[in-house]
Amino acid sequence: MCAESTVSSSAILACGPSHESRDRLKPRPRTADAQGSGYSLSVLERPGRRSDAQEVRVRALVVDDSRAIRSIIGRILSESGFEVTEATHGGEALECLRSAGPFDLAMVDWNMPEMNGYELVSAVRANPDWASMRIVMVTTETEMAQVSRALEAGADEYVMKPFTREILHAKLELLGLSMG
Amino acid sequence: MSYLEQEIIQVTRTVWETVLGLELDRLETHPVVRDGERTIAGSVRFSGAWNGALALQCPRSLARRAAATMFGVSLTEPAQSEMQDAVGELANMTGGNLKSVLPEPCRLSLPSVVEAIDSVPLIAGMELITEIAFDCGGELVLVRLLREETKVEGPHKEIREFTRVHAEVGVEVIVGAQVICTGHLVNLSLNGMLLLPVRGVEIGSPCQVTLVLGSDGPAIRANGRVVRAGDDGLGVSFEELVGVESLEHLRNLIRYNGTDVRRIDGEFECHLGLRSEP
Repeated sequence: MCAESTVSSSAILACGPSHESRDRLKPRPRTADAQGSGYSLSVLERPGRRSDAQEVRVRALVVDDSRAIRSIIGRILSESGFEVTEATHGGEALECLRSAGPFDLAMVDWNMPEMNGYELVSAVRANPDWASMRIVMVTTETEMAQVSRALEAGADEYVMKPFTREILHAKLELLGLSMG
Repeated sequence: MSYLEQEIIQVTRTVWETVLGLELDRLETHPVVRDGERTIAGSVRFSGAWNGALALQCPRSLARRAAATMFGVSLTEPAQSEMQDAVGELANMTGGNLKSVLPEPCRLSLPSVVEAIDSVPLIAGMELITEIAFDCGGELVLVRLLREETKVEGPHKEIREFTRVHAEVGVEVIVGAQVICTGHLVNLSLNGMLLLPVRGVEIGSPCQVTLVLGSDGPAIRANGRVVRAGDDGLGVSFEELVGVESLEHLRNLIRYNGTDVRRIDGEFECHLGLRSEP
């Protein structure tokens, strides 16, 4: 699938590759022409990059076989200013990364068909091109052993289902990706 | 108190309140699924040190509300598949959280979803150990924990889960829109039935079954799946019995033709839930 979420967000983020700049995210007041939950970043200079108004959204990849969960997470992220792309399992997520990457954030379900979340995290972390992408495991698996395994494989954070909007925002804040 | 009763109550309430903003009130006694009521049931399986399943069943109208909330759309918008996805995910979250109190190691399956009309779907080889009913704004939510039976080898090393009986009833099996078989049973159980061989039927095909008791007697109607299609016969596994009366007629038919009535009653009491995929 690798589809951009249909949940619209007019939030525009001006930045270089956001994974390199996430620790410098600075929300600024919404401008008159920016609708919705707009936050902007200070434009960052990068070698070989344009420093003018080349505006790039912070990009999130939501990987879950459940459409309902993709919808819930996608909505929260979109309303927070992320550009959201969806994948239904790990294999599809890897295709997205190859064809539409890089992404700043991946929200990854644990239990999926074809390629599960653990396998996906391991594959992502084996590729240096995606090393800076933050990964949040989204799981119903509540054992600490499972969580430890995900973190050891390279996940940066985890969130357990069911979660609230506030919990998700708190996790993003921990990663320096809070937009709200 | 039933096994993990309090844990199931707590987890189910938390899931519904957190995800849907809906409160569930425990019902001490619960009504049966109403006649003609369309329900959606989701289940996840546990395998490992503890083998079983958690099933969650609710009316379609409530599934629609859940889907509307989860997909962020109005009540009129959710498609059938979205309602199924919503119920499957609710079952997944409930089972996933419950897994932490089950013996380890234990794996959780992907959720599966079935629809039923005024019926309780079945899971073969599972025994109902805990059933909790909730009221959600006047609608019934059923959560069941089922445990896999210990299979016992019979005298001919044949694994039998349910009592099989021979019964003189007329049978009609429809696959797609085509009647593929009319005839008589080889044997019948709560789990399904075996008929004489029929050519050209694919294993896994969904089918509708009608068993007619006597020349103009009542009928047992079931939706099922072809699980065997060889020279040894056509095996059909029942996935749901259509109508409450079908369940009663099937019970009476097997009791009447069986020898161990107590065991048969036990099978019917304990095997309500969701059927696993064949």
